[in-house]
Amino acid sequence: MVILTAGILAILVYFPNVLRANDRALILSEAALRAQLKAEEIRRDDDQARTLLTEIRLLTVPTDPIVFPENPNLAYRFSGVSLLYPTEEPGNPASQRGVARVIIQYAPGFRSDSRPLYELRFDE
Amino acid sequence: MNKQAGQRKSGGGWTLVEMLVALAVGSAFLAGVMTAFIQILRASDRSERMTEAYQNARAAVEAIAVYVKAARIEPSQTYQFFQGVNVPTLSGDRIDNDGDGRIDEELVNGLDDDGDWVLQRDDHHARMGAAVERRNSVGRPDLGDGHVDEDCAFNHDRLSLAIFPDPTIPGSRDELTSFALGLWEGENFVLLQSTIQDASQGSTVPQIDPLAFNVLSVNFLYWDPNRAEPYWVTQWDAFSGLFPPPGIELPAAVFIKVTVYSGRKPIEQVVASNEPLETVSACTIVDIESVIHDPRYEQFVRPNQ
Repeated sequence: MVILTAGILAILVYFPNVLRANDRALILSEAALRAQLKAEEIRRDDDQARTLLTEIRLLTVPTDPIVFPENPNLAYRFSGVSLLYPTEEPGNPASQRGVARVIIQYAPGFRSDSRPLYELRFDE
Repeated sequence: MNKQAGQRKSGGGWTLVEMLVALAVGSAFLAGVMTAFIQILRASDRSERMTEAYQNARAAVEAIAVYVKAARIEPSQTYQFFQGVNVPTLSGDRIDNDGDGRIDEELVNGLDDDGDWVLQRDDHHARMGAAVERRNSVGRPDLGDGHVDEDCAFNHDRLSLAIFPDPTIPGSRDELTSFALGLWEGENFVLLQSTIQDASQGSTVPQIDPLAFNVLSVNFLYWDPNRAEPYWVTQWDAFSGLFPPPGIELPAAVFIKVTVYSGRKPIEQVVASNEPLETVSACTIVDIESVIHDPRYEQFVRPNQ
């Protein structure tokens, strides 16, 4: 009985982990595409003086998260600093400050976890 | 004496009532475990199907994006070739996604077809200092806002384009390619890519490859830089003569959306019935670099603010 219960518990613990891993793979894939979407929009709409890009580079605090209408579980922010690497590290371009980024995270109404899921640097 | 009585009791087995109670408790426990197990298996199966369908859709979107990005205005040519055909269908996933009592009532066009967009609630634009994203559409519905294109019928759009060889890049591509839904080795609902290599050298034999299976909808929208306020249009024909100078013959960007079936039953069976369709969609926007960097685009669409 003990062995049976242990086996059942092991299965019950294992499957939710598999589900979580699947969900995370799905959401990371979507985050990458949606980050690309936002970066291309900025490039398309910017003016000759590159005002949009410059304003994003200057952001030391990311913009408020805006929920994607097609996927209310995800939100985007623009930023000039990294949230994944808050401290600038020499030799690590991902941590460089003053570089335009789009950051994808869970929508605040979906999960309280506001850590970035995906960061795309799209400076020219 | 007491020892003998104790031995009799321990060796006397269980009564029928004890057995029945133990059996009932055991059965209830096992039933609970089985129910949980079945639910977990179902959730796991659905999650795996969704993940696989999404990877298919994403791979297709990215494959198309590579070609769209490389489309080029070739000044030495007397014509440019970029043709997008809009093919709407009558139904979508058969689900009332926005809860308004209507099903699949919208078209993918970046407009509020069903009239439920509300300024205070749905007008989403990030603000960066003095600048604002999608500045041309602040205060009006557009792609990126809430309640725009949220419950759409499927499309079977077709996109064909030329990638002219760039004389400044040795070995650059020279291709005519098109993307459309079709039949592949007897299987329906396949997103196909048809490519003619060395088209400008007279080659006419296309190579046809499947990009994704179980595809229910393919949407393309084109960002028209020639409008007074650039916006999405649902079709494009660079060869139509609609772009007299100084018009720009190619769209500045293309919105790509691929919707893939993720249900368990065979797709033909579900499509033929009236059941709701489980789907996942992948979408993105791709700029056409040759247009974005064209001096005309800089001049007409990107005035200094």
